[in-house]
Amino acid sequence: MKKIAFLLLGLVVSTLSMAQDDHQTTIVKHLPSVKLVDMNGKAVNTAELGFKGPVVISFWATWCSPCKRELNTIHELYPDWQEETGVTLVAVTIDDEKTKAQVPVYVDGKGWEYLVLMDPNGDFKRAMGVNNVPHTFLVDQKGNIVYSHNNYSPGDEEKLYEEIKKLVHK
Amino acid sequence: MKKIFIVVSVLATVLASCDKVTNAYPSNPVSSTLDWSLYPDGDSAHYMSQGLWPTFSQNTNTDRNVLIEDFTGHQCVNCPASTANMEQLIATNPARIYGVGVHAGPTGLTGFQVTSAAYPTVLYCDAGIEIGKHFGQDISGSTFLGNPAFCVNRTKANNQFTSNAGSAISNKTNTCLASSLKINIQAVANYFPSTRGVFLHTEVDKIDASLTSDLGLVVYLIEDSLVAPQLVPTSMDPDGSPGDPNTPDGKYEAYVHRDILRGCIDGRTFGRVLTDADKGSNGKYFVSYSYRLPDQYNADNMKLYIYVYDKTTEEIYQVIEKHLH
Amino acid sequence: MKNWILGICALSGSLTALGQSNLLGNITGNMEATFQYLKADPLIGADQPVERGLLNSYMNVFYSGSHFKAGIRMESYLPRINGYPNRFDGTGLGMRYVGWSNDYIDITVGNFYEQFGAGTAFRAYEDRNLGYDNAMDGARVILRPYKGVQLKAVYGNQRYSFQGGSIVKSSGLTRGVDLQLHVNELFPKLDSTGLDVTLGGSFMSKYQKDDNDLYVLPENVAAYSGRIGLRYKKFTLNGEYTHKDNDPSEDNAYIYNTGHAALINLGYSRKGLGISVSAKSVDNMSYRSDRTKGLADLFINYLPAMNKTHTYNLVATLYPYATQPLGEVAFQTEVLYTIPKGKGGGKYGIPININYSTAFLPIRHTTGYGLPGDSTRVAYKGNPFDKSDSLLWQDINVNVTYKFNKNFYMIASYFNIAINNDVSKITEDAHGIINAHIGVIETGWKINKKHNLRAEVQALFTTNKRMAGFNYQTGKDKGDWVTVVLEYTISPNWFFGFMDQYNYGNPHKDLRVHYAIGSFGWIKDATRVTLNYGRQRAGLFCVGGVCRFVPASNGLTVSLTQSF
Repeated sequence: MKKIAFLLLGLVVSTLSMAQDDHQTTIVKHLPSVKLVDMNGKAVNTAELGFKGPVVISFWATWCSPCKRELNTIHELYPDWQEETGVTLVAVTIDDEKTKAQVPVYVDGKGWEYLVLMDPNGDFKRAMGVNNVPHTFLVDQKGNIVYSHNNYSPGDEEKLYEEIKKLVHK
Repeated sequence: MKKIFIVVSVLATVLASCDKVTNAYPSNPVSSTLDWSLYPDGDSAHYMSQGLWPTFSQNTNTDRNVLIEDFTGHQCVNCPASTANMEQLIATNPARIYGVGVHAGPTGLTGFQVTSAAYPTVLYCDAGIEIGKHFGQDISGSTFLGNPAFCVNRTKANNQFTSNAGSAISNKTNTCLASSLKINIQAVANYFPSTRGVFLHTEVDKIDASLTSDLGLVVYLIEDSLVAPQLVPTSMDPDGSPGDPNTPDGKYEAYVHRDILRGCIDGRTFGRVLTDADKGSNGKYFVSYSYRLPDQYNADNMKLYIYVYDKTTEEIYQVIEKHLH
Repeated sequence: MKNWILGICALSGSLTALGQSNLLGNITGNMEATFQYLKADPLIGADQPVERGLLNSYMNVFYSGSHFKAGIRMESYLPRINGYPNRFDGTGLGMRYVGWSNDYIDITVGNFYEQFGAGTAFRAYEDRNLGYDNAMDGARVILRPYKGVQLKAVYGNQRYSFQGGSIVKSSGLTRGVDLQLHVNELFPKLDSTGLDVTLGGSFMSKYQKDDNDLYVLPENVAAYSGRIGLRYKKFTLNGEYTHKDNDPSEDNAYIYNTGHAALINLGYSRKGLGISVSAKSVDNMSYRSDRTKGLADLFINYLPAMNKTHTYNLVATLYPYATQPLGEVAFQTEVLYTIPKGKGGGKYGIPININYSTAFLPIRHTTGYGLPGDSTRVAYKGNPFDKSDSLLWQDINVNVTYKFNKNFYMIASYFNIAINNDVSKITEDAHGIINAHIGVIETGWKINKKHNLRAEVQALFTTNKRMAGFNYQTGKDKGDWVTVVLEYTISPNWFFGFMDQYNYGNPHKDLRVHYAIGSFGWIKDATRVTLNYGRQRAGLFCVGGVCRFVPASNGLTVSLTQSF
């Protein structure tokens, strides 16, 4: 018990010191660097996505119905969104070897035009602090995470778009 | 036949009315299917009059026993170590754990069991081969792939009937020993040396009324021990090679094979299903057998294992042992 | 223990230092807490835990700077929730690591997750919903010495359990290396041919002391793996083959056979059409860092099940299938075609999805094995893709989505599932093959900008007749079911749900039970609170082919998740 107490104390101390630091230096949450591959096997470093405009990062899986509903809904709006805000959507799939082969089937079968990254062992999912999919992040032009939303219900895309517009018209 | 039946029934009634009643319910009427020529002293009526047909009193046993089936072979070099491990397990509770050596592999008779010039003793039997095939081939996805392997009351662990020696069988055994008794068995075996006749009378009591599947009653004929050659690792060979006691050849000439399965006394490897016709008026099942012990066996070295198992799940609910001497 | 405290202090110290020195760094993480209050419900076999209340919680905190990284996870089981491995208890540190990386090297010391290729030789991963975690504890180096070349080396003990507030590790050691070459990056000229080639290979080894008196066990067991990935225009071909040396274990009844796993996938996709054909062969491929363990414990490798992961409740949870590590030959085909807009596809296009998967037991060639005096304990010969007629699994499913207008859609699906309950055990109520037909209609109605209603009607029928195409008599198991799901959402914050599973066709009249569950959720940004109240059926809960048995329960579940 004593040991646990010590551990907790250590944690509290470190958390407190972090919290203080947050105020002093206003550390912003940056995209963590994880090396993934896209559907073509090309290596991509998540910290260097290198887009001009805002980036939406959406975690999904072929076996996750709300994820697919979200990405299919945005798919229809995507041309308009791109035109108006220059936003890019990166769909990060957490499908593992069991269902990975179905990813290109689904993406192309649905005609998605997103950049699709494969995260079969959940490395990026873990680094981004994702509990469960769908989970959507909005990243500004500097690579800072400015908004995130867990879950999807129809209409959530409107809220996301408002946040995107805020970034562009700042 | 009919006459005998009537005579016997009348006799039984008379006898019952004369004797002090120890059991309020009559046992099953004498089966006419028994071979009375194996009774040397007379007919069935005489057998009854001698009090040889038992009237079972309340079965006081409350413990569930365990039957470990050891799939082995005399030319299986790895088997003796596993069998020794099983013997150690049995020694921890010899009154409740029984072992039987089933000389068969997953495909029945394999190279481990066949006889050869160096290993001439027949230790396998048809019943054992059927059991081996049953667990090796009939059950899809079985990991019974070779000897040695063990069934413990035919219970499953990791969805498998067969397990290896060591912790796997001791875990299964302990689970069975600790579980509640669902079926109780008692039996009386009478052996008559002059005719080599065995009369076995069994009473099966279904304690757990929630059991709905068919129950099979099986009687194994077991040879208690037999000295015959066994292939062993050279490190375990105590008797050297012919003419040279210091150089082990891996053939243990004086190996003691224990509890060898020799068959089922009614020829039914997977038992006889207990039906309402076997039921006495007290709700218990009564089944009697007559059997002639083949000439090659010494009755003093023979015994019977009587067990009841679930025809659906295969699990053996209870087993008891009866010696012929 | 002391070392850990020091580690934490060092960590907090360094974090503080970094913060003060104004070096850019990130703290990310997430937490989840799940509380259950359960009551007894004898009808469905649900017990009340003696503690009545159950609580699982964990929090991940990761730091990453420009070169330095570190992370911890605190876990707490007071006691663990229903269905979690019952040996989990206490509160303590569940994971911790430090690391450093630049463009060509990445070093981690402590806990890490990793996967080589498709994972048939090595995969350390976690699934917190299942309570599955076989994280390595040791060291890992990733080298990228040249563009297109990646070398990984891992060395450590795997996580087995979490007891008394601390991790219990495997007694066996796991280590390995993996090399991956993206040939096109090495020889850019290849790009002009339109062909893209990736090659890889790995070597894994485990060490565990021979503590068994009955057998002479191999203490070091190796597995070798090779893989290739090809892409040409719209076609892809991926293959991986893993060979494992003799590995007697509790799983394979201590036979000394070698093992193999082979995966092949061929894909074609263009806009509006995707096709994928896969095949898999597995024999004696259970590879654990402790040979005495079973269930989902201490797997070094990962054998993906070759079937679709279904999402509708009755389809996903009643008859799930997991890979048989001891042997199976499996095939799968998946097609997604969208009838284009205007050309018969209406205003929005009509996606049609067809999926077929099947698995059989392999043939074990036993002639020539088990000869007199054979002391090898090699029991049979298994050849890749040598399948028998013994069916393990079959799934034929079709679904069509039709969008009537902007606010209303409907999805109709049909599933035909057959599972061999003798081998892939999922129920105590049936023997042999269970064949289920399932129909699902899903509709969604967007009432206005924020309000949305979704409904599902699912019906499942089991048969006990001869199965088409096979000589099997199928079992009825628990009989027929119907499920209704209603979901009402108010974007972006509110969620209301109701589900009723009704086992109206159970052969036992007493067990024709409604499993009704109501749920409510509140979501704000990265925070989510959900409440569930009702009955949960006992069953196998599977994620990615790994399954865990969850007993029936009745009561309240509250869960909170937060990402930061």
